Amino acid sequence: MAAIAQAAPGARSEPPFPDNRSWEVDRVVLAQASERRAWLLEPRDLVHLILDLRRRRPRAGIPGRFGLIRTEMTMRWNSIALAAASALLALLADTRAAAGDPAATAGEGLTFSSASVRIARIQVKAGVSFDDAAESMRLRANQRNLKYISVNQLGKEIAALSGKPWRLSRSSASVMRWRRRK
Amino acid sequence: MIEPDVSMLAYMPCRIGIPEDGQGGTWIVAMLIEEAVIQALPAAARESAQYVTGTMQEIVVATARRDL
Repeated sequence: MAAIAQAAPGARSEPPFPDNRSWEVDRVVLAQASERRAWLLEPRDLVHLILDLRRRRPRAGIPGRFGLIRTEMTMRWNSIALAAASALLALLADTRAAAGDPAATAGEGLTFSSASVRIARIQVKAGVSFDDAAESMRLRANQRNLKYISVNQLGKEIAALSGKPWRLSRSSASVMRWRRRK
Repeated sequence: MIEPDVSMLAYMPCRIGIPEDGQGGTWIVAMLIEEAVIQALPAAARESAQYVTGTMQEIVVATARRDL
């Protein structure tokens, strides 16, 4: 059984698995195992587990955290493990709520769950105006049968309130360009 | 998509932002469902989510290129 080195304090977790077979919820990661079980791991453990798996070592030891005893596991897609992982995700939310985590319960029956999203950005080709871009968007959406709901011209609203034309601030625009270069 | 998990409603409606940066640049920004969330859905719902997400990506690119 391979031992997993402890992560340095403050180590940041990497995206868990290249084919998205796990979810990261705050500081706890829910991973799926081929043994029809799911595991709760701290990211720092998972980082080292992944590094271990990437070295093509199918069996890896897991340090005893959250009551887990060192166990052998092989990561592989498994629908039953997925169901178990989902159940554990729900359990995790309840556990956080029971622990009084303000992010999990805000009182009055309001509950929260976490879900990751991706933000897509692209710069409009030079020479394409704002109105042309908006028209292209509506046409393509219509072609693909996505219903047009409404438009909110936030820029015009801000301009009306402030009395001057509104554009993204220089810092926001710089961030977008920087992200594109990465 | 909503049938197996009502939380999916939180992703609706799909939104696309078109900000101008004051330096002559226009951007397209959209929120897409994370692939892991899609994969966790039951087969039929997964298919719908993949269609919507793929279409959103297509729209974003078409908008940036002025494809009609």
